[in-house]
Amino acid sequence: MMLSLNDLTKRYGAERINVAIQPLYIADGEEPLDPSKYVINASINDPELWESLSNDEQNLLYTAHLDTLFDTKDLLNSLFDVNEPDGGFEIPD
Amino acid sequence: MQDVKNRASREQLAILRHLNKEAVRYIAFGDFALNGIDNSRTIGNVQLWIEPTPDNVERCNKAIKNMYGARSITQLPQSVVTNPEAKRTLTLGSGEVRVAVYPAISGFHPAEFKEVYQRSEKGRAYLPSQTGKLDGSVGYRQLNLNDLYHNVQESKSIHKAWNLETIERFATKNDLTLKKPDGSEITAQDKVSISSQTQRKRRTHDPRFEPNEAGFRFEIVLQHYGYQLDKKKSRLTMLGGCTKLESKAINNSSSSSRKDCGTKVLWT
Repeated sequence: MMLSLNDLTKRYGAERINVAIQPLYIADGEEPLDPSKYVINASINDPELWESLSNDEQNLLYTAHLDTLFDTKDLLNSLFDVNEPDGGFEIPD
Repeated sequence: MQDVKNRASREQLAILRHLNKEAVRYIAFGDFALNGIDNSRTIGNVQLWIEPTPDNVERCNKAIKNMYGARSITQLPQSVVTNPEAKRTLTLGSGEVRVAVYPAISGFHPAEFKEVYQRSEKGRAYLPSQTGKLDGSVGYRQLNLNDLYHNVQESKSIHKAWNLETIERFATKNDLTLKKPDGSEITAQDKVSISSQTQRKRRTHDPRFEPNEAGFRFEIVLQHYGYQLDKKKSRLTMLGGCTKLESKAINNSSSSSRKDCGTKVLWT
């Protein structure tokens, strides 16, 4: 069964999930145009929820958290005019 | 314990693939390397320490050409070989998060690259997806835990304390002992002295910053923001033994101890 954010919302309540996915600011980026540094709020302010989630559930919540900061469609799908290599995906020893 | 996996954007993963394909020698450090041990951090820039040798710089430039096409003029200058400095030389990528290339990093001499590379760890970065599954992994090399700790410790990063704590927590959770580059153990005392360096120092008591009976001394605040008293156009008045400059606009206090003497103060 495909996991969705609705399942987590039903289980923990919309308010708790909404607070959980918010970005928690750590620091500015190194250079002026760099993105600031954040962690997912749940990891600090709701560790009970964060630690109880499975890997897939954590990743789902994490993607929802990314959505609060970035255009995830751009970040995760679009490659603009970039060529991806055939093979060569691993590091040489 | 949750299985920690590093994440990156699609473009960052593609750049790493191209670097791997051309066998570029690099080591990830900084926040990206920390993301490999802390799964709660948001995707940010990937920071890479590139071996500053002519061959490696050439391979890196070939990877950039493969990535962005032959017409791309972006390249790593050969000058980094003779003059490697611990500052960003090149930023790759056009998205919101990018790949930053450094010929040197805090805590290590550029000539130490070979040794640090040999003891570096392999990591994997994935693309997060809307379903919670991770996709399209890429292998990369990152500083080992001890070197990463040393690098953060020597860096001037403002979230140094946060990063050190992340590594310490990871080491405790996995029953690992952190070591200095010379092989000696990092003691609890070292940790305390490091964190005390990164803590904000308490301001010493300065009576000028004490609030007055009205709540605040506005002249100090105005001076702090660069305003200067226009002495020609202002009159000074003595209240309670100390000089106070008050403008009519600011002085709304109804305190009986205070007299409005028609004080006129102008700030320029």
